[in-house]
Amino acid sequence: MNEQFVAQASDVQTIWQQLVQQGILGTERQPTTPPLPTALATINTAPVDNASLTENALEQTFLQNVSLLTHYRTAAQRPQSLSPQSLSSRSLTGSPSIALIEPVADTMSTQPTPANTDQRSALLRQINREFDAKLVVEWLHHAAIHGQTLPIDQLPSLLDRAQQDKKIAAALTPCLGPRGRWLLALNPAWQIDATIELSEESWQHGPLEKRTAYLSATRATDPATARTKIEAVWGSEAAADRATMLATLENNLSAADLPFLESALQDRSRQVRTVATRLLLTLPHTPLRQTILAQLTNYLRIERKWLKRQLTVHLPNQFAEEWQAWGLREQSPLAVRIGQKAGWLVQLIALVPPSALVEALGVDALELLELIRANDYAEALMTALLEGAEAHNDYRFLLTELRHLLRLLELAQVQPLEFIERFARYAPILPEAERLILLQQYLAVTRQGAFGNWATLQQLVRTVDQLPLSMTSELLTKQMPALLRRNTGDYGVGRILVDLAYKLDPGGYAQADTLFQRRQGEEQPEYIGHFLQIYRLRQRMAQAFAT
Amino acid sequence: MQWQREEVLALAPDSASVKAAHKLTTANKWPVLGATATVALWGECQGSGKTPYRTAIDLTDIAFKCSCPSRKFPCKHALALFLLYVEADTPFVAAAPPDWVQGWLDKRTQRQQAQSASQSNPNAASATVPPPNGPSTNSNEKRSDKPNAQEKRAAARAQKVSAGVAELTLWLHDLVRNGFVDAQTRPFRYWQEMAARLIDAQAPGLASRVEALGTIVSAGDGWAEQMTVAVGKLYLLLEAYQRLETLPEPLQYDVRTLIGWHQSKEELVQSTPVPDQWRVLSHTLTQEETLISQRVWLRGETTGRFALILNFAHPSNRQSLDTVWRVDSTASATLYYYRSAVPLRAVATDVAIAPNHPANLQSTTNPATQSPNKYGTIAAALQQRRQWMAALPWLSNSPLLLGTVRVAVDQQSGSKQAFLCDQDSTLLPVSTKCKSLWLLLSISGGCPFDLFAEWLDDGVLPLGIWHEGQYWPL
Repeated sequence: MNEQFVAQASDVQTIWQQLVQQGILGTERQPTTPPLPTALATINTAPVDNASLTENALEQTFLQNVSLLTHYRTAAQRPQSLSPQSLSSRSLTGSPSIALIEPVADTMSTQPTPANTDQRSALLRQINREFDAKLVVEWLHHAAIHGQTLPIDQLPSLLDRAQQDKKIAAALTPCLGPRGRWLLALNPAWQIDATIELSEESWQHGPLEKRTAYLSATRATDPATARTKIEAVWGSEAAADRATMLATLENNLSAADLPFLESALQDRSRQVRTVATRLLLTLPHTPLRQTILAQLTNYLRIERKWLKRQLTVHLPNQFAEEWQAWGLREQSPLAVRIGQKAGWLVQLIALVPPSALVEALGVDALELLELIRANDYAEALMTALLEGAEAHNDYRFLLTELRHLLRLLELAQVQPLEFIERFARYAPILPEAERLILLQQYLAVTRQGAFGNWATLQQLVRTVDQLPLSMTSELLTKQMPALLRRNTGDYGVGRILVDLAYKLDPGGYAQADTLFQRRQGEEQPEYIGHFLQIYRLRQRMAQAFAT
Repeated sequence: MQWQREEVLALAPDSASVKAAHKLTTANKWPVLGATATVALWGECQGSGKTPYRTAIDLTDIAFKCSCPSRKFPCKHALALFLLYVEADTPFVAAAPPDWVQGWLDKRTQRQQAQSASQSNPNAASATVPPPNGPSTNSNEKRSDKPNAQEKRAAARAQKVSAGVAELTLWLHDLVRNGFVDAQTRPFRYWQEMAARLIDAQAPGLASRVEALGTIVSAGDGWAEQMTVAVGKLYLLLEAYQRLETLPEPLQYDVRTLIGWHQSKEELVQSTPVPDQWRVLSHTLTQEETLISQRVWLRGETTGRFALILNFAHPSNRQSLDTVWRVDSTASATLYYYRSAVPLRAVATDVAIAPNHPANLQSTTNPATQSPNKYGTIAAALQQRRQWMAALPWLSNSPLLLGTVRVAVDQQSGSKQAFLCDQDSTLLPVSTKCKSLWLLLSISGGCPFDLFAEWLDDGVLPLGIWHEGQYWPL
């Protein structure tokens, strides 16, 4: 811009604001147009149409000044700048709130680059853009194992996704690397719980989730301190929070916790009392455990009738006073289905670990199961035992039953479906390793007739996180071909296959490819393509990280 | 050159095609897969019929052929074949193309030769470009070769446009008389009606500016200032049109283009050709309802000139989009610039990826990739912008290259307002339209970087950075 037209910036800004104000109100209500700075007024020429000048003189003047000043403001803009002293102090003269972003103290360049980095990064780019969180999480797990940090161009989008998906957030943390952590710290909108270090500060001022995480971490190394911290705030916390904090004592539970747990039995909140009762019953020789087991052996009696033993259920006559303290409900929702008294008994059974009950009744687990199955209250009693097993992680009792069922299956005394239903029901309580062993045994026993249809296959597959290669091969070479041959026409086969694609061992992809090899002229449903696509990506991922 | 998966997916006509193609990206669907390195790919995909679909891709100048009946282009088979190729873990048999592929490639070559022959012969192209205020040879208007008919049509259009300009001027007077606050209470129909009258007056450029005003009044914070700026620019355009003969000739073209006249590609190839090796700095595709816009920024290695290739297409048919431009590659091409006071937009002919060019021999991760050696400071970029703005007041997006800049943020605005800061400690605001600031920071790690960006009304929009020897499109 020619120097002769340079106007004072403050003048221009003032006049501009006045023009904007006039524009808002209109020339009819605000007829006075501010004059242009002298430097600009000289280049403002007269309008072309002199005839309309008198008629619309106010509007024309306004529009001319606006157009000239609009152009001047963009064409003659001058930059803000930093002064040397403000650079060193990270703030700018004239703009004290503007600061340079400090560079990352990046150790990436000194870290050895894992092999196949480009292939791995390319896969992540594809997965992150086109697929759901499951594959992303799988990539992140591989990366964490192999010490691979995230590609720098994927960090922002994955941090964005982590805000919506807790699984991604949890898996992301080990792969962030120095640059990821630096970036995370820059943006307050990104919060990944796992990246926040647990400290006394988390305990004092954090939300419940962080306070609980702090307690769990402390409990793992110093159980007494964790308990003392809970005791210190016990009176001032809400009931739900007290219950959640109390539950953290499960880790490293010992006799030292007894006095505090017993005092918690007197808490106002039923929720807190229930947790305290459960914890007290987890400890093997507590007086409470002995009391409850004594009551239960009174209500559940093994009696001999003729040559057979049977389980006789004697329902309680009234709701005992102490049950209230143990968290039992007098008016239980179960009462609608099984009656009020049976409802009390079921709640009582659910308090103890099933193994303890087996021992107290003087039978073995298998016998108790058979006796329960023959009882009128079979369903209610099994539900109670399952609840107890779940609360105390007491799965051995259930394993006994499943193994017994497998024996019966081998002898053809039960149908596969019975095992599948029972297994699917108990699976959440069983450890993954035990589930896999049982599944392998089931497949070995049933051979090609393991699954009557795709839905039963899905029922079993849903119970495990990942199928080992041997089982993958078994499914792909025997069970699935048998299902395809039978063409059971199940609804939702596509969905089932997609579930499978995420759980089969990547090493079995070639078998899947062979299984679905299309014969000439044969029309193949779209879901097979989708299944193969996901499975293939998992195979490529495994290969990329295997090298 | 190695194609990237993202680039292949960008060729898809819609998301359904991408989804369908993905399901065909397993080797068992393709009994026949063949390739001749850097020339062509082909394959046979088993569909539901007896005969497999035959699909081929010309890699030299990306083009697709498929025997399937799909009306989408490229079809799912072509996309799947290309995806299989770029993923590089599916075996393609290296062989000479079969007859059906070779025949197609030969026909393409013949057609390209005929096309370049006709372009090099000025007599074969359309009539020469008229002066800015003379009759146009726009393809829409080229209904007769008779000069008289053309002149009559041009005169009729000029008359219509003049009437439209006069009506719009009066309408603007009414608008500022009643005030923008009054306009805020008007329904959108109010703006659409005026825009429709301008369409009737054959001034579509003015019509879209009026419609934009209707959007600005309900834009929320800062609407009044935006409205004042938009009205100022519109009035300046009306004034300029009324004084068209007094303006420099290049600016006359700009004014006419902004009003709604077109400069056809056929006219442009009659202007001065600019041959060079063109580095592709940015390639963006944006979709708004039924229109895809392709923007490709180039920079000539010898001339140092910037050029913007701008194409439009309907989402269901992307054939009018160029597939040859790949970011960070260099192509040999002859460009013809649109006539303008600030010539930036151009059309390209004789485009060929320069196979031996250093940029094309390097992968995107090769640290040898260098940033252009003519980037400058913010002060220099601002000086350039001022010159351009002085020459063309309606200039909106202009390119800039900056060297060794860092990111600064205004902490009072909660890191929402970012700035670029160069070695002279000069600051330049980042546009609020920038969605890739975190990506930029992630790549640069807060360290200095070289930058290619577009200059918008409210700041710069970063489009790519050079960092540690690698170019990262944003």
